[in-house]
Amino acid sequence: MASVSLRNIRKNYTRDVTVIRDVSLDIDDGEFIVFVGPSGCGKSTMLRMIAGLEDITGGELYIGETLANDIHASKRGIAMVFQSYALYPHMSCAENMGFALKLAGTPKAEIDSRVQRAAEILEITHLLERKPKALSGGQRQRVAIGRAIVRNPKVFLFDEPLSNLDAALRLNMRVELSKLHQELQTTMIYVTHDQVEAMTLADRIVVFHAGLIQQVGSPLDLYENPSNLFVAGFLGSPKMNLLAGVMLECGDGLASLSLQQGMIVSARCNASHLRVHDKVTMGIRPEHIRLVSADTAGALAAQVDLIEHLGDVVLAYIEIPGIHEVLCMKLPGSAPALAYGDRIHIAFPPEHVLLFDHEGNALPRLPA
Amino acid sequence: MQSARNYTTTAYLFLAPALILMGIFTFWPVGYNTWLAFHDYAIADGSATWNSFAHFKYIYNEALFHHALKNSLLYLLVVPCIQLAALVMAKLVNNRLPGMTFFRATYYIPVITAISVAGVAWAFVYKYDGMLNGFLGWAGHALGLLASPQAHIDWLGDPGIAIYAVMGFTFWKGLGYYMVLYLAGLQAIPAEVEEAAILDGANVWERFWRITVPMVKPTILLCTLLSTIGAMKAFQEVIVLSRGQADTYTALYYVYDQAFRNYNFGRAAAAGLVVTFFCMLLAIVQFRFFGEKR
Repeated sequence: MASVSLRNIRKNYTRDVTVIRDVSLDIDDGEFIVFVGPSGCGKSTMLRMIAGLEDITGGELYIGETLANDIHASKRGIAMVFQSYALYPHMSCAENMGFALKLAGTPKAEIDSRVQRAAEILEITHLLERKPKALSGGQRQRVAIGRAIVRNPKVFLFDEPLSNLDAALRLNMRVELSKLHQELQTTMIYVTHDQVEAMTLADRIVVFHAGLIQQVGSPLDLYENPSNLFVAGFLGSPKMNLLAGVMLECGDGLASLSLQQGMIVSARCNASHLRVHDKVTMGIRPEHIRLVSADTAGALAAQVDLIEHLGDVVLAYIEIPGIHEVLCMKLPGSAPALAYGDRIHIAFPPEHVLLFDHEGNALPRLPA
Repeated sequence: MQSARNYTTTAYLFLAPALILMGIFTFWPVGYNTWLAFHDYAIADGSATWNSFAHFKYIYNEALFHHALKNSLLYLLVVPCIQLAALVMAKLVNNRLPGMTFFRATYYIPVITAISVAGVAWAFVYKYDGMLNGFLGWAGHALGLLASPQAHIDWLGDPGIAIYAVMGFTFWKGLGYYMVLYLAGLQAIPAEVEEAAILDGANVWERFWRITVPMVKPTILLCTLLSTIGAMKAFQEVIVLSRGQADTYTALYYVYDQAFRNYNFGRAAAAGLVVTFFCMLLAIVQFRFFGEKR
């Protein structure tokens, strides 16, 4: 087990093409950290640099106390699980799992015992003599994880390991990966673009965008207190509703803003550094929009555009007259039945409304 | 809904053009050759009479055919050399380095050069006072191994080395072809597998031997089969370079001589069948070696 420290890491492919810009991060020993972000944001490149499969253009990478920039990939004490499994097709599962140990000159008896132990953890002992082509996707991924476990690494790296699996299997493997982490207590760095995986697996999430870390924090913290518009829009499904407005009242208490058509919304945010008429963006999660009666203070009239029944919840896509954005509202499955065209009233509770300044940075929220 | 019979008819109709062409240009000549091998064929009146395996008995006892067959089998030495070189070359040009496309194209040029043209060029290379002797003489002289700056090796006239010189030509001519096939095989190996091997601690040689070679085994089988058949059929190289002189007389050259110089088509057909038999035998061995184990 080891901590991982990234200090001002940069990656340039050519002089003009920079994919990682000055990334610094400390990953604790035994932590499960998830890199998340859209395609091309640099999360996989970052992982490959930690693995030693990509050169580091600038900055320092420490694995434990050791500066690892120039250490060969196989000597860094890391093991990596790839999206495509990357199993050797001509070897049996046992041979795949023991290959690194065999190359290192480990005695056969020890290889066998370590392979057997890893296979028992992953419940694949019955598959050890099979070739990868005789396995299902999920079984292949277990073998790939087994190959990583056998090496007894200080750090596990996972590069979108569940992306090739179907939805049901992905859910199963997600749970098993979580259990595996609890069992091994080894540092794990996991790359995904699937925010559900990120939210469910991570001790901490690192959100990447355009080669920069946007925010680091626990899943709930990131969900509830996104530091900027990108994180607010990226995390959460359905995504956060974002509406443009201008400040009406700025203070260190309740701030209010005006949406289009003069609709007024309040937010429990500290907007003291803003001025009246400054442009802002308000954000509210779908589950925080309230369905209210017309006479409720601050109620906004809206019309239902589409209803999606998901069993436990109902997603209502609504339009506020004069605002050309479709908002998503998440209601409990037991909520009053809504239908296309229904005229309703909604409210944005101030304690759940987030405000972002014209640069997209979140304003500090105030305790209720 | 189409009935099973209609479905089969449609399938055969789709296959028909290819089957007709294969029938005319492959199956019929093979069948006719086999039939001819058991008959005495008179070219004057076109008559053929059953000869109770006389051709086979004749070539079984004929020293010339034995010698030709021995040379053809010796020619198989080119197979491992060309396969190994082509695989290594493919591995080298399978890099994303500047100018790599130029090298790939350059190595393929001999393949598309007409064998007669290439033969003339290589005759100049192998000439007594040709390029190869000139180069060896210069190098030997520079290294102090030769007194004169001109080597005197009769590449195509000395029976001890002429066949190896012709094999060198085959090697040069076929290398690019197999390189391209191996390149396709190498490019089908996912980059992640190579990366997984790097992380597992495999060095360059271990990655090549333990990962790349097993993963291109189907291509190795195909290329080895093709080059074995090519080596057993060595004829054009011989005729353009040495005309069968200086102990370069191969089995297919014997077939050509019997058919088109002696007009003994039956004996030529029998010799052809024997060559085919050896080709098939070698193919079986190669399938055992490189074929997928069940």
